[in-house]
Amino acid sequence: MNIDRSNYEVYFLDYLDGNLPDDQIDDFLDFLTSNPDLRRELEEVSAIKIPAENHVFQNKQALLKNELTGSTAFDSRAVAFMENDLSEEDQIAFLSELTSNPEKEKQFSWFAKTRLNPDTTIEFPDKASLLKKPARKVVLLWASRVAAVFVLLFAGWAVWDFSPEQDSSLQLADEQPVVSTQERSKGNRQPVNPVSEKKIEQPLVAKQQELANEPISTVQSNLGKSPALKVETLMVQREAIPEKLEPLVYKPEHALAREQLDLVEMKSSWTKPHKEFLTVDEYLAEKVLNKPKDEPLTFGSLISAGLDAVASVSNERLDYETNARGKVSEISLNTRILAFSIPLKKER
Amino acid sequence: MTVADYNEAVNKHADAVFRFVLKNIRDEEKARDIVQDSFEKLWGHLRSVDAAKVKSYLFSTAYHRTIDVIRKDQRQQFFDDMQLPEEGHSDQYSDIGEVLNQAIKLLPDDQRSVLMLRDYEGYSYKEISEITALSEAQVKVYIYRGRVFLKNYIGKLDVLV
Repeated sequence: MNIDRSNYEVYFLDYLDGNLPDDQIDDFLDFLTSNPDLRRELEEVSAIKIPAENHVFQNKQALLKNELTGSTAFDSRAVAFMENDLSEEDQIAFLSELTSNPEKEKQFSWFAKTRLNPDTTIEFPDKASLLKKPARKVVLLWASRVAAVFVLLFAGWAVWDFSPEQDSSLQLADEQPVVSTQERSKGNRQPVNPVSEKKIEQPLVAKQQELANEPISTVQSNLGKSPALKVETLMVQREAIPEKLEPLVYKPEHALAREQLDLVEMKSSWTKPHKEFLTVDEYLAEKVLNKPKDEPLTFGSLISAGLDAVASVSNERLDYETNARGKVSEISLNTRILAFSIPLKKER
Repeated sequence: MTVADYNEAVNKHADAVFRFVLKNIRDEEKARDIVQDSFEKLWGHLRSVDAAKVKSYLFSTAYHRTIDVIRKDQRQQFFDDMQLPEEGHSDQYSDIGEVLNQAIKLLPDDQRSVLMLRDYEGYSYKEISEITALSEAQVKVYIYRGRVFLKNYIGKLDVLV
C-alpha cells in the first residue's frame, strides 16, 4: 500500500510508535518531503506527550492471597452446607463425601468450629440511662399546670363574691337581729298598738324623711323573704319615735297575737330557698352518678366536668376547648386584669 | 412504636448491640457511645420505626456508626493486620472460643460484621443485607470468605498443636 494524503495518519502513528516497517521508511520520508504541511503536522503531534500519573492502589494487600484466604471447591460446599444453602440431595452427597474422606472430614470439623457464639457476659453498662419515661413527665408537667390554674381559679373564686346580688333591704334584714316586741317593750321604745298601726304608718313614713340623718336602729318583726313581705314588713324604723304622736295604749295580748300571726304567716310564706349552686364535690359526684350508661367514666370526662364546674362558678371567665376527639386541648382564663390560655397538648 | 416498645428494645437488645459493636471496634468507650447514639437515633424516629423491626434498625444504625468511627480513626486495617498466629499461642488458648476471638480480630470489618450478625443474631442473608446496605451476593461472599479464613486459622493452629 502506498502512502498518500488519505492514509498517512496510520503511517504517522506507526512511525511515532516505532512500528513502521523498515522497507516503508524511505517511502514515508519521501512523502514528508513532498508534503511539507504534513511534515509540520507530524512534528507537532510528536511533541505531545502525556506523562503517566503515579496512582497507587492502596488496598492491594486485600487482594493478595495466602494460606488463610485460599479456598477450594470443598470449602465452598462446606460453607454452603453450614449455611443451609445446599439442597437436600447435595447435603446427602456432601455428607457421604465427608465419610469417605477423612481429610475432608477433618477440614469440615474446623469449619464447624468457626460458628461464633456471643459472649453473654458482655453487657451494656449504661442500660438504665437509655430508658425513657416521657409520658410520666408530661403527665406531671401538665398536671402541675392544670393544678396551678385550679389554684389560681380557686383563689379568685375565694376572693370574689359570686353570690347573686340581693336586695339591700333583704340584706339588711338578714344582718339584723330579730327583736321580739317583748324585748322592744323592755327598751325605750313604746309598744305599738297593732290596731292603730295603719294609722301611724303614714306619719311614720313622713317622719322618716325628716329624721333621715339621725342614727338608725332597725328592727323588724318577721323574716319574710318574698318581695311582697319585704314591702310590708321590712320597715326601717327609727329608734327615735316621734314624740308628737298621740300616746298608744299598751295591750300586750294584742301584741302577742300579732306576733304569733306574723310567725304563722312567715312559716307559711317562707319556703326553703332553692339551692341554685352545687359545690364542686357535689357537682362531680352528680356527674359520676348521672353519667350516661354508654359513656365510660374516664379521667378526661372528670376533667371536663370539673372544668365545666369551674367555668360555671367563674361566670364563664374560665373556658376550655376540646379537640376533635373530645379531649381538652386548651384552657383559657379571661378576666379584667388577667387573661391567658394554656394549650394542653401539642397538635401533631 | 411506643415508649414501652422503646424501653423493651433497650432491655432486649442493648447488650447484643453493645457486644456486636465492641467486637468490631474493640474500644469499650467508643462502643458505649455508638450504642447510645443508636438508641438516641431510635428515640428520635420513634414514631416512624416499626416495633417489629426495631432490632434490625438498631443493628443497622450501630453497624454504620461503627464503620464510620473505624474509618474516621483509621484504627482498623484490613488484611494488613492479617498474620498467622505465632507459635506458642496454642499454649495460651484454652478453648476454641479464645482462638476465635483472636481470629475474628484479623477479619476485615465487613466480613467480621456480617459473620457476627449471622452467628450472633441468626439473621438471614436478606436481613444482613438490609442492615449493612450490602447486596445479598456480597453478604454471601463475605460470610464465605470469613468462614474460610477462620477455618484456615483454626486448621493452622491444629496443625501446629
